[in-house]
Amino acid sequence: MRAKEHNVSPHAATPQGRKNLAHGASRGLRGATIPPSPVGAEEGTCVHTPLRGSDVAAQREPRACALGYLLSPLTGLVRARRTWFTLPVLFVGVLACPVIAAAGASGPETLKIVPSELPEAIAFYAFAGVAVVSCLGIAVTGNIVRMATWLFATLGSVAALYFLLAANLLGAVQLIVYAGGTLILIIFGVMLTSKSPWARFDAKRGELIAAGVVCLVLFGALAMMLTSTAWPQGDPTTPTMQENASVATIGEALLTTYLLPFEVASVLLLAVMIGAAFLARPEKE
Amino acid sequence: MIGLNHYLVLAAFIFCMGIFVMITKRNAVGILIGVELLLNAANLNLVAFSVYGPSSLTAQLSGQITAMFVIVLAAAEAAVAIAIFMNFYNLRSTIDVDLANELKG
Repeated sequence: MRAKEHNVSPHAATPQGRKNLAHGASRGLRGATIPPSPVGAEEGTCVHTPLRGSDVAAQREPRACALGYLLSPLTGLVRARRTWFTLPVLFVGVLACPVIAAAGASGPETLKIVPSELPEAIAFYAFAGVAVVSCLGIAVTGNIVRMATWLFATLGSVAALYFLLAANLLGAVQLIVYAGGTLILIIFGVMLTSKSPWARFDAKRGELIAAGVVCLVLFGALAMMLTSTAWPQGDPTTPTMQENASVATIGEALLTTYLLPFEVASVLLLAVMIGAAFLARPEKE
Repeated sequence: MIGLNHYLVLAAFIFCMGIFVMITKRNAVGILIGVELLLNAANLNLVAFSVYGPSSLTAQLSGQITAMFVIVLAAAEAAVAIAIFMNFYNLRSTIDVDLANELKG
């Protein structure tokens, strides 16, 4: 058997193939070509083509720089063919931040002592705004890859909120396990179960309206219930979360008070590994 | 200034968006993304209560540790779900859940 060279892409054999690779073509796009460089560009210089809008049907060429990929969810929202649906959803999302602010103002005064409150408010509204916009992006877009991108933004903003709440270990775990593990798993699932990256399944208009009404009513009921309940408040004399729930304290609690759930979670992960490997095994011919 | 209600209403919004995504998406991986939104909203609720709620040591710890176990379970569930979706795709060549209407597999 001839030994194969695994670290040389088949596209690097020809000069055009090497140029394609240098311009960022993936190894899987057999026969994909880069459009010729603009007039005046010389061989070997880095050319930035202007950012193109995300024309879904005609998308065949890779983008020139990373920003083009990051902006595609936003341009996808703007160019969504279902504008009748996108605009009301965005309107609801823009209203959500004042609703949150009003809900917060209607509740009892927090007893948590903070040195200065304005930076915390700015940080909270910034991260909450990103979370709200990302959730709306997931709901509106029909492209599964864009949904995964918006989910990444949601997970990152929720991790930032954890850090704002002084839950440092949990924020780190969220970024490592959720954004860096579960999201990658979801992207693998997208890659392995899609005929084309631009395929979209759209729900019918009646389903969207019914789901929107249901979720709006649910959100209204939850918000009303949450803001009108007198939650038991904390005692300002006890130590703050930063001192209490440090990484050392959580580690100690995981091995003393929460030892049983910890071990059960280990057994569960073992069962999940075996089950997933068995389910995803290749077909025996 | 930023109190418990802010975090609770934000978590309720993310929860409702997760439910909306679960209802309207026909792609099975899209439904899984909605489930992840639900779990994130519940985690945010847990951590907000552990900070702003009764501030004994056990209360503060239990919120964070429960949220951590929820993250672990979400990762495990995503793994099994992706394995099931891969099987379904290999069988039916589609990931549309509207076409998953037979028990025969």
